[in-house]
Amino acid sequence: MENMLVLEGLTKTYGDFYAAKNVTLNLKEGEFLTLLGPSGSGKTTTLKMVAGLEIPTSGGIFVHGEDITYLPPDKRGLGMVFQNYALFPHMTIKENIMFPLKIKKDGKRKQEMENLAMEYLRLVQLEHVAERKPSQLSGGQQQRIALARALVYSPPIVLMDEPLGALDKKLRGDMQLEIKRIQKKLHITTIYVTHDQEEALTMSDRIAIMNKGEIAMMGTPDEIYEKPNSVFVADFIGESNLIPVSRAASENGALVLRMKTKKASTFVHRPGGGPVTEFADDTRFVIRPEKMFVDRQLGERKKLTGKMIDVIYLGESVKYIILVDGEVQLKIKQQAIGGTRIFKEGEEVEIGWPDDAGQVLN
Amino acid sequence: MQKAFHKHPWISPLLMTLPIFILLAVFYFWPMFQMIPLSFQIDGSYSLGNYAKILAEPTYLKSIGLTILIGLGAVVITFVMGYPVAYLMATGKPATRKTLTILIMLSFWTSLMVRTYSWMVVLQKNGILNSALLKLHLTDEALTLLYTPFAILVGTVHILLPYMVLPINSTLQGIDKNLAWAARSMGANRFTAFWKIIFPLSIPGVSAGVLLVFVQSLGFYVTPMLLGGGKTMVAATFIDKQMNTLANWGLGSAFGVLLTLVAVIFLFVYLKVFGTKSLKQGLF
Repeated sequence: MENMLVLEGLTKTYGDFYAAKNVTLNLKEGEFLTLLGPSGSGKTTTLKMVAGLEIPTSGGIFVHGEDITYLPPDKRGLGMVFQNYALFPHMTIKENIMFPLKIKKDGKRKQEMENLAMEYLRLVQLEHVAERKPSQLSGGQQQRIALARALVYSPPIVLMDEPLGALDKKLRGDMQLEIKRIQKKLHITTIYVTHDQEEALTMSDRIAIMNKGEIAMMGTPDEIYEKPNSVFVADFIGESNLIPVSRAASENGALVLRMKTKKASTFVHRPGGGPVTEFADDTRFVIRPEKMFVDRQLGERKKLTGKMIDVIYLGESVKYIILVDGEVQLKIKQQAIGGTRIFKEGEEVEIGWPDDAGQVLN
Repeated sequence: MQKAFHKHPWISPLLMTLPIFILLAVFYFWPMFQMIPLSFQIDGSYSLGNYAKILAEPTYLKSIGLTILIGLGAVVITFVMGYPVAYLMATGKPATRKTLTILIMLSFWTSLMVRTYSWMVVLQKNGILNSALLKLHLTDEALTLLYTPFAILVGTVHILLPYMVLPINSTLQGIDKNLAWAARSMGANRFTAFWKIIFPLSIPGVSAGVLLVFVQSLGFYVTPMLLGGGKTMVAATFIDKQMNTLANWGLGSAFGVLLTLVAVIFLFVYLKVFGTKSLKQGLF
């Protein structure tokens, strides 16, 4: 399929500071791509450059192969949804949604515009508020109106800048599903910016994780979660144990890793075809808490021993904090099935995981 | 009252505003209301004579007309000159905003007398403006600028300009910048985004500025006296002459009452059109 949007080496500097550095990505028609990263990682800057609210220092932006890098925002024809909704307070909801249609002046009659506005109000299930002013709506309703307004003129691409950032957690969950439903139904090509990893995993076809202005990793949600390409990504997405290690030995495709502790415990790891890493000073063995198990006696399956220092009950799961080699704290998460063994704090326990679980990353 | 004391354990809001009400009542409303009976007095007896005199005498009416005209002129000119300044102050680069704010505040804080006398220096027969016009051959002989309604208007505009700029600036600053960007992203060019979104939202500031400039200009005294000389009389200088030079307190008071009436009518119409909410938004 043809690429709808191409960003090529997009860079924005303020003096010596790189707000965005060499951002390159392609977006296919109907794709939902999320720019995910901590604040100051360059995700909003990138989105603003696509929208035309910031001028890039270098690089290019292409829609359907046409260079739009230096076009003013009103000549790009993209849709944009803002975090604080940006509804026009002096207009009614219907007037807000009709605004882009009136500006376009493509010969539509007023009646046609009104019908179209009402159609999109139905789409976001808010027909009954057409005559109200924005201030009379709740945050969630306002954001749905903002969405309808950004869609009503059928822009080829819709940009969303943390659209759910101002809503509470429960409402955010509902709105994620709502946006996803509409996006799928209308097959809208979307760039979505968020710092909420759960939101990114739920909604996206692909995620670009940004760090210090650069794309740290690009992939589908499960690629990003299961096979992070760096310690940063592993740490940013979900929970990870990051154990500083060095190579002790390697034998028939298996590595023996040595923890960088005084006691220097070792364990075996079989790289499962993931990126094989050069060992450096900051190399870590990275493993998700839910991939590990803990018991008093594990026999063959034991990899490390440690001291239980905390047991946290989380509802559907239990989290254990275990101190290994007297220095490194590991988190282990297990399903809280009825009759889960209760460990005492201070108790000696054994920890294990499948040989091919986890990754060695820099 | 009992409830109010529970909510505000120390003192009720009503009680807190009492001192200012007392101050206003004693030093403002009391002397002002004394003006009303005075305005009906001619040689110790009460009649409508003073008002009849004013309404029958074209020079008196002209003076009121001129006052209103200068007020309206000041409103229009301060708006046309002040809006772009306020807009730049609210949206420009930090350095621009700082410079403009300093310039406006400097003018605001400079003594009214100093500013008025400066205009006398500029506008007089052999002043800066006239010598410049002569040098550029735009005029053959020095123009009479000082002691004309034009001079009064110029001075009034200068002195009242900050009262237009500041409320507009404060409303503009309160407008979410993303609104303009949202309009732009939907295809509106710079001008349309301003005209359809930013300007309508800045109306409370404009209306507050209009009110402040117009009502203040009605009572302007020092500036018209110095720049208008004895020749061009506005309401305030007329009242002063009646009371202090001619000792005609009755006629002066009647004039004062009429002037106050103009201000009250204007305020009434203003509130009908814009409402109190708009005034609050623009001023605070």
